[in-house]
Amino acid sequence: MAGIFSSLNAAASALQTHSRSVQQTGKNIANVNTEGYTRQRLVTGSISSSNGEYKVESGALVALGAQQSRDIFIDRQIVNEIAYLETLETQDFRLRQALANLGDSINRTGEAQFVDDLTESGGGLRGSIDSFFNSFQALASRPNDATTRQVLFQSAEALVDNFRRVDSRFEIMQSELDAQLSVELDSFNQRLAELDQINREISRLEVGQPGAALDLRDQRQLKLEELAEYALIDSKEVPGSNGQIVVNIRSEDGDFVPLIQPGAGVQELYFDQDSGAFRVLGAGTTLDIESGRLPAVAEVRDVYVADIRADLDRLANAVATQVNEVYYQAFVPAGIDPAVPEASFFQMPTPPPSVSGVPSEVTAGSIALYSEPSDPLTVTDFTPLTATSLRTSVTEFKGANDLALLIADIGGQTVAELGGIKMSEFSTRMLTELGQEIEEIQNRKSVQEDVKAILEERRGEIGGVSMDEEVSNLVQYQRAFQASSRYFNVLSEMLETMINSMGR
Amino acid sequence: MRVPSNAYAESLTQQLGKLNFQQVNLQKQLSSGQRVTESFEDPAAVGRALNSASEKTRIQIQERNLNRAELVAEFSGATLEQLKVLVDKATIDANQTDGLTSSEDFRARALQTNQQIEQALRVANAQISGDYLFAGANTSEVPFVAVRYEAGDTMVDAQGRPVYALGDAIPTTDVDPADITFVNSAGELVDAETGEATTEPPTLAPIPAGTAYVIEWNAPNSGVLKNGVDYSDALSGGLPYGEVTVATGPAGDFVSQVDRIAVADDFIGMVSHIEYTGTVDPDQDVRFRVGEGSSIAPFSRGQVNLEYLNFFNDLVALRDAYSQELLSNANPDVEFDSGSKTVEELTGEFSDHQQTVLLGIVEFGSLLQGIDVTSRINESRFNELERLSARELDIDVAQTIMNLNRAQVAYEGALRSGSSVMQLSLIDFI
Repeated sequence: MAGIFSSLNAAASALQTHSRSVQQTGKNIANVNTEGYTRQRLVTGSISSSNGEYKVESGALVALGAQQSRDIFIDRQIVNEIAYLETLETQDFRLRQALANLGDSINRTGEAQFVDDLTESGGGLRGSIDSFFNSFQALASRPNDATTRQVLFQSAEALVDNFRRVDSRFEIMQSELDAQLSVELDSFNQRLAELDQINREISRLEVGQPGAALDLRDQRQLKLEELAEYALIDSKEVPGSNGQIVVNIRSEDGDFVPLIQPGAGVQELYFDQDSGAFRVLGAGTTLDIESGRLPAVAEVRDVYVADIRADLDRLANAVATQVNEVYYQAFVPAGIDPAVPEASFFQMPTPPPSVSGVPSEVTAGSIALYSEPSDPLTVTDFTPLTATSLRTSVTEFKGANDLALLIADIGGQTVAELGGIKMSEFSTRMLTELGQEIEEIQNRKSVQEDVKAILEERRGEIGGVSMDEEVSNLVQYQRAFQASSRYFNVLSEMLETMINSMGR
Repeated sequence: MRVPSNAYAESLTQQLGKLNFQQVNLQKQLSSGQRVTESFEDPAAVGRALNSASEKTRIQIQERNLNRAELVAEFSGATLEQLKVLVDKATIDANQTDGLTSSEDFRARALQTNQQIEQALRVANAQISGDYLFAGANTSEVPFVAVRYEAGDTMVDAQGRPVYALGDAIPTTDVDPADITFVNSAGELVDAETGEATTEPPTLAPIPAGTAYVIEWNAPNSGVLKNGVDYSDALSGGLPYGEVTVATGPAGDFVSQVDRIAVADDFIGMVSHIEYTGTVDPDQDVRFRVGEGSSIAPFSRGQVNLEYLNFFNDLVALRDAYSQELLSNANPDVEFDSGSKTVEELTGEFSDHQQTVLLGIVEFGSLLQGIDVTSRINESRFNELERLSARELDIDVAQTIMNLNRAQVAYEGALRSGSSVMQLSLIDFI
């Protein structure tokens, strides 16, 4: 018979192991809703001891350690998908803000249903442009009517105001994006430092016990996923570094630039305004961050918003130039008969190109109604634009409308500088192109959310806590504990029998 | 397959979120009547609908222009109807001169015609919303301006040219053209063609001795000299009638008698002639945009207005013709050449004026018909665009309500099934 004390030890060890299993199950149950928690399982095994000459081995159940149910490939894939999803979410949010900035709502309730209804042109740029040229149409039929002239003047003011307001919104948006980029970079670098700290602690805890720092590994994975929200990173465990990982980011050459290296600490990320590129502090390499919030913010600011502002400038310039080409009246100084004051519709840095040969420079932010001479040094007499000074004809006849008609017709003409489409169509195209971009992003986002959901579901299947399973395990461990307990009692009774029979 | 416990909650939350989003969207659609409110919901449809909306506002403005054009045309037509009454009356009067025998008869007819002139002026200077109907593009100024006789004036013809009492001057020797000079009212020697001061005598044909020599400054350009020598080229170069007097040479040989006639008291305050201040050039006619690529000129054309001016001045001429008798009685020794037409000559003119006014009425009638057709085309285009917008953007109410109902049922189902599944676990059975 094997040593009864050895058996007692084995029973006690089993009881202890089952107890730890119950404890482990309890931990799983407790963390059922903890974000990033991966279920853990106590790995048990028997340790053998030989006894006597027959070398009969008695296995005692012991806890060999805890293990996580984790699939590192799914984890890596999720990091990638998070980065991409975050790109799309940032673009979606910001481009919808850009769309709102354009200010063209689609409101059918305010739209005229019948030809005799009140005219509603809408409040956006397109509406302003329509309203402006339609006012000229109306003025052409009533050149002397003070109210119609006032309406036109107001619609011109509204157009100028709209251009400036929309441009100002985008200017503010660009500043906001500057600030966001700066804040996001700080957050990214902060999280990088936190990740480095976790990495070091894992290394400290796993000296001689590879894979022992399970909860810290959960936290590290969470931190990697947080970082991926900012920028797509690559990570892998470095062999022989006690579980530490290296975190890399891709350069424009396709190489990896380390952000965290075991023993080397953190290399922070920054945005180089001069080159318009992300770089790693201390390393001159230009980065090519494929996805994440950081590149998305930079792209929205430097590509989308910049393009929209450039389009706005083109449109404002086209409106001002085309109208002035028709409306502009060159200055003829006093002394030359007849002397003519300079008159223009929109304020331009120079007379229209057809007159001066100098390209105009009107932008959405600078467009204004004519109020001062184009060149104060040479133009000494001018007629600022007002409702009353508004000219409707090149002749002196007040009822003539040739000028008004020509300007009204501009609204219906295609403009080469705008790609051969009409001005209001260009404004609509800005809106629909942005809409198409958002629609595409939202479609991709929807697919991406599904992909991420599938991956997370798969990860949940592997590492998530199932109450049913844990309760079932709990019963199982309880039964095992009871059985081991019973075994212990039997051994105890045997020992008692032996002790009592001694000395009789 | 393992199912983690929080999968229920996550899945339920996700599902409820999607259903909520659907319900919010559908509710928004029902409350706004639109299936699309943002361009990213259907960019192509939004693009088409916005372009339609722009087109619709353009049509609305064109329709407003059309309404104004209709008003102008109706007013103009109605004005011409009144003018027609006047031209008919004048034509009848001009044709009925047989009964006029005494000076008083002529005086009465002259006064009656004078009233018609005043009436014609009032009618022809009709306005709509401050714009004169018969002024071409110069709609802010009175188009037909009456020039009236004042005390001290000399008589003019219906074209505003001075009326002269003519005398014949018969040179005893040949007159060297170099001796004929043109002198302006300031007494300066002027060039016959330019009217500018000169030292060079004009080049004119010689006037043979014994030829009656009459210079008609007030005559039309076609006959400056009646004795067979035509100086119209010389005189049409810019010298206005009445501003040049003639001195002939050699001195003492002959003097042309070109005396102006002082206006009679009866004529003071009367219209001497009528001037037109409006535009004439067809390029300056005011046009309104009333449809895609189409425009109309609702105001009376400048060229036609000139014809109405002729009618008014012929009315003046008619009055003056009636007065001719009175004028001759007052100056029995003077031969008058007023340049005015006789009543007989004017009879034919008035028939033409009748035609002009009638054509004007017909023209405005046609214009109104055209306006009606254009208006219907505009309305039809507008309605088509409205239908297009509705098709692109508006909801099908029944279908949307059904969709909302379906989303609500699904939401309720998700809540019920979720709560019952989440309530249960193995723990409840141990």
